[in-house]
Formats: sequence, structure tokens, C-alpha cells
Amino acid sequence: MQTSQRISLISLLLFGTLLFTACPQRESISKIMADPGRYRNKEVSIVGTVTDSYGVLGQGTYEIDDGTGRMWVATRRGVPARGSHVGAKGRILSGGNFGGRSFGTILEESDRRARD
Amino acid sequence: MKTIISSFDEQFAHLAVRSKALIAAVPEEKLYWQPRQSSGAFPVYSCGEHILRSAAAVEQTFGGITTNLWDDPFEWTLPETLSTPQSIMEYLKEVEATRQRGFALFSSDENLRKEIAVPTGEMRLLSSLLMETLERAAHHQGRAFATFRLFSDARLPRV
Repeated sequence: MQTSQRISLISLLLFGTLLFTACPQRESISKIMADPGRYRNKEVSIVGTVTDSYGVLGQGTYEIDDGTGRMWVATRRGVPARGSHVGAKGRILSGGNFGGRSFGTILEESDRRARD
Repeated sequence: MKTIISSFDEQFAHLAVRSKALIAAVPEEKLYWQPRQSSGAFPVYSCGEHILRSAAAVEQTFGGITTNLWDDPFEWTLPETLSTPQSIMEYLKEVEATRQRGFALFSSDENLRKEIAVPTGEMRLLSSLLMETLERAAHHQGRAFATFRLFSDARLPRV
């Protein structure tokens, strides 16, 4: 293998590793809820349908059902409509008060994608 | 063999039966009767308020377990909202239904070792949470029974 090819291969591997580590792991809600302590302060992503939401002045919480369970997500970007299919990523928090309501395990959203 | 979960279930069920029996025994005019005026240092509660505090402790815990929402039921259990024995009885039935939904999620004593997050940010063992809830609920129920004795000699269910 030529030097230029080796450099290209190593660069590709490094890029792939960085890309992989930068993306939070997608988890099922049932897995998170079965052992919330293990996921505390960890970045994860979940995907599912919005079943409930509360929001005021752009902040709020919404609940995602991914078919294995339900989880509340706290957001500062406005809540998605009920019935919409979304992917949310963020940090798992153990308890907190958002919008005047008290939650146990909750995902603090850092990014969200709407899905068709 | 009886499991620890079934023992908890039984204790919570007995607690609910006793609360309903007390509310059924309290004359409507005595439901929110307070034995004396509060000095302001701490509140003096009536039978109805103690029973509502007892049920609210159960509702908050099992609301948290079943929906991960730990709202304090204080707002919807005010005497102004639940002003009659019938409305309290309805509320007690709702709480018992929520509690039963919670117990339906437990499959074995192993579940009691599970930790769940509460709004303070702590991770609590389910066993300790159930024990504390039972203790708080029984405490308020005991105070309701004591207040009842100040105006009635009617028989109440034994603990």
C-alpha cells in the first residue's frame, strides 16, 4: 500500500471514529427506564411519536412513545404537536421541575428532528 | 409463598379501605371541622384534610411510578375542590386505581431493588419509596382517626 493510500485510510478511520463518538447512542425508552441510573447525564437519542405535550413561551415538555415505553423530554425550542414523529437527542436527567411540573427521569433536549 | 410486593399491595389496599370507611363515618358537617384554630405556627387539619393528604401521598408516588410525573396533588385536593364526602370518595377511588396500575407493573420482588429518579434529583430504591409512602399515608390517616375521635364514638376499621 502506498503512503498516500495509507494516509487516506487512516484519515477515513479517524473521521469515522470521531463521527461515531459525536453521535449519541440511540436507545429504546424501555432500556433507559429499566436502569435510569446508568444513563444519568449521558447523551442519548430516542425516536418515537409525541403523545402529550405542555408548553408556554417556547419552553415546555413533551412525551415520546417509541413502542417500548414513554419518556418526557424538556425543550427550550417549543413543543412538537401531538401525533408527530420525532427524534430527540440530549442528556438524561434524574428529576427536575420544568414548566411548573415535576418529573422523574427526563431527557433534556439539545437537538430534535421531525420525521416524515 | 407470599412475596414482599404482595405484602406491600395488601397494606396499601387496607389503607384505602380504612380511608373510605372513615369518610363514610364522618358526618358531612364534620368533614372539614377543625378541633381548634391554628395559631399560625403550624396548620391544624380536619379529618377530611388528613385523609386527602394521606391519599395524595399515594397518588404522587404512583403517578410518578406509572407516568414519571411527580406533581404534588395539593392543588386538586383542596377542601374547596373536594367539598363533599362523595367527592372525596371519588378521589379515593381514583387514587386506588392509580395505585393498582402501579402494582400491575411489578412482576416480582426483584423490582423492589430497582432505582427510580424523583424530582429532587435523587435516585430512590423502589422498596424505600413504597415504605416511605406507606408511612406518610398511614401517618395522616392516623391523625384523621384521632381527629374523628374528638367528635364521634362510632366504630372504625381496625388497623
